[in-house]
Amino acid sequence: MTRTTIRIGAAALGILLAVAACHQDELFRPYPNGPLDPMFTRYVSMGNSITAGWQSDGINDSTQLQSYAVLLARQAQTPFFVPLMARPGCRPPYTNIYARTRVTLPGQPASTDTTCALRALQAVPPPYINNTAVPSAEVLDGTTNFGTGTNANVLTSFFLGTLTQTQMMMKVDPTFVTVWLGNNDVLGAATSSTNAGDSTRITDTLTFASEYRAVLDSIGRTSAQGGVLIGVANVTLIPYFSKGSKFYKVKAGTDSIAGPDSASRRFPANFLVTPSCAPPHGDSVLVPFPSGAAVLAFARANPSITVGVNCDSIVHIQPSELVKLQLTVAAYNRVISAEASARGYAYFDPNALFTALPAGSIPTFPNVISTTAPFPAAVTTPFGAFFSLDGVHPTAVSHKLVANALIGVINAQYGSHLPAIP
Amino acid sequence: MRRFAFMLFAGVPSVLAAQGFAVSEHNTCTMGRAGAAAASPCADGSAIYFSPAGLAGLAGKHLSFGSTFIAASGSFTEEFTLQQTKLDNPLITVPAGYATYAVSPKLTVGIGAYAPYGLETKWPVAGFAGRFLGYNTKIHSIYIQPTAGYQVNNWLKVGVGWAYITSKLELHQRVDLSTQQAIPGVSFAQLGIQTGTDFADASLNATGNGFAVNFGAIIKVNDRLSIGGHWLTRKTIKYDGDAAFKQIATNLTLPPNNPLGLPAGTPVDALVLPQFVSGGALSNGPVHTTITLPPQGSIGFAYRIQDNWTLMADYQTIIWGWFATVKIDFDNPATPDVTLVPHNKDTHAVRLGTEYRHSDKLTVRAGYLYHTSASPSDFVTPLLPENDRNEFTGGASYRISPRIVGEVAYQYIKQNDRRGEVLPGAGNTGVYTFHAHLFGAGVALTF
Repeated sequence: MTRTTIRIGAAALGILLAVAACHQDELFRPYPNGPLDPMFTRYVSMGNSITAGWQSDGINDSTQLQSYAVLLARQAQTPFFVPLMARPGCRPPYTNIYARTRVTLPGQPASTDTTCALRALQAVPPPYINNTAVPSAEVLDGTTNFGTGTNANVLTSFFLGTLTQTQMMMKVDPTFVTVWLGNNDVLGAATSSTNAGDSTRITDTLTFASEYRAVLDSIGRTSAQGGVLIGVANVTLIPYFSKGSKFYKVKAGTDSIAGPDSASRRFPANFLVTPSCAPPHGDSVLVPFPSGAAVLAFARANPSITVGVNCDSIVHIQPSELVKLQLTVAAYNRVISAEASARGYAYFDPNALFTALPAGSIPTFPNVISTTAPFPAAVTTPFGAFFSLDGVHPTAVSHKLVANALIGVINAQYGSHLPAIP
Repeated sequence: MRRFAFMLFAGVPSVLAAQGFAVSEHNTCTMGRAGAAAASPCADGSAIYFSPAGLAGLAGKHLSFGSTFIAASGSFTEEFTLQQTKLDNPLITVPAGYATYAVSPKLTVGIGAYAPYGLETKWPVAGFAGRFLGYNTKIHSIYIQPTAGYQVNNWLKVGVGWAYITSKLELHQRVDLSTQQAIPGVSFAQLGIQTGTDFADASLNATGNGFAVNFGAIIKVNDRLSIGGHWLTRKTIKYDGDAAFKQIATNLTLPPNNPLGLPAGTPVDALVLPQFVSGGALSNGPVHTTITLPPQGSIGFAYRIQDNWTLMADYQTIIWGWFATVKIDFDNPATPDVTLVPHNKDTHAVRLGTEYRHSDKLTVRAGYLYHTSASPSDFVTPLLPENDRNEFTGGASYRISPRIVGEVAYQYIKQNDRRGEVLPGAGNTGVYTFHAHLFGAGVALTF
């Protein structure tokens, strides 16, 4: 009797326990099997406009997510918080550089150069920011928002609150870091609207090295197990600039530009080019888009007004300035490469990537709006497939290119197995 | 600052909605048998809570008192960052005591003090994302219940008690600057202030009282089988207290060209300071609220397998559906009142217990219980990261002298892991774990 009762009781208890079987909730990670490598548990990207995702002279939550840093994080399968800007953006990217129209929300007034939307309220508020890059940031801005020579702007506040890039980076305590700083230390000089190539706006190499080391020293105080230091881009290679000699040859009829018809492949009569643009001098004069191709578009739209390009003007990069810019980029990259070696980081030279592109990938002259025939390329790809509508910042295609190149560098340096983006 | 006011009290309903933290361990003897006592409560006066009819027939005078010591452990793991924060609970003590007197062979009266709704949840402030929902919550609801049990005939006992409730609520939380409005319609988060920027510490202390009725009956089917149950009525308690706010220095300064258009170097702390002065939305002041302590009851049976061996089983429910609306009323007109709709669910528990009298001196007990949770999946917060639980118990009584019995019990609680929230409005972004060891000790005196 007793034994039977015990058995019945035990059976009943067993059934009840089975009925009450546990239902355990589990973490619902954005990447259930990630990160692919523990080194990517927390990834931080520091940088400037390129890393932030600035395209077509603007930024919003669409362009930000096309950044190489976001793509790299995806391939590493690591959570990556980006300070997304609500659309249309701050400022909204161009939709047509010649008409100077920008992304505009339906029913809203047309966006302008001063339009600035707010930070987007994300479903999951970012506990921190992984992409700390801020447009216009020079190396100095990596460590301070205040003082002479700093470039804190409205996006510094929108992205980082009151913090600096290094402060936010240290808040994340990353396990992996990429740093692409330094472009603006020479780009500001190259793209000056009043004196392109202005050498006084270049950060001298010793100062650059000191400021760059300060950023790296901050990284050294975190849990970072690895990183990639990305060299400064050769700003003279971007399609924002065209050689003075190109203008001269097209005007002389020995060369042409892209266009839908023969008239569009030539310069109109009211667009003049001075003899100072002739080779060989003109080969070393870089004409910025606003002073060159944009003026050509103006001439086509206004045949009664004579305009042109004078290669002796200070609005263009002069040969001596070009040399200075190129030497500076080379010097910066020697510093970066040496620091990478000394600190055990990988080094990546972006210039090699872009110079290896097939000929014609980066146009020697922008696609200029035509008044004689439809020319959609002037609106959609005035600077080709690799550079966005401002001629300076890479497109999504280029970001993918950079991300895949970085993946190769990382895998080679650290023995990881991050997959390339198809 | 409307958002702040919401967050200050967002967790209160969940605190009270806990079946697991709604303490059922009001007696060491009963704890050893997993709380199964509706048809056959322990003969030490604890029937005052577990089944008032059980007082009937309890001869002589009885005095019992004891305490349950709760050592709780838990954690929250954030699924994006994998940051794990561990519960920082102290050892919680829940005392209870009962006294009875047999007026006649049929009528026994008594009085008991117990705490059916008690909680302390404490998380570390530093680094825990949920501190903006609550980092330290305490609730003490003590029921003091005079009770009478009457033997109607040889098969029916009835009992009824009238409980005076005194309740205290204490809540602490941080306030996140990023969720506050910088200018009308624009939050600091939209200007770039990072999530998790502490700028105020808020606390609420309030007390209230009320009355409830606890009644029940036990039917003796035959010499071996009894069936019993009880019902503790709901009570809506009005709490009066104070809300206090203390500014936390952010030490942030606005950079140049900030979207507020203020000069570079402007301290953020100076910007928010007016909120804390008299008349500001975060100035100290009285606060009032009402909370319904829901009804609960149980029904069960006791079957005497042998003269010295009894098997018991109870079904218990708490009608948390009554807990529908909570209005928080600030006296300060600058702080908007808040109305919450917690959407809690009724809870259900199955308790299985057994008691074996090994000798005149020694009795041993064991039990198992399972219960569901009150919190819906969209309201699992740091204040009470609750879920269904499996619990295992054991206990023993030892007669030290003819008048004195010593009681000990142990209970292990294993709560199922549950996804929950730590950031207001962000949904469930991680997993809470919880388990606890409970130790009971008590003494029962017979005169």
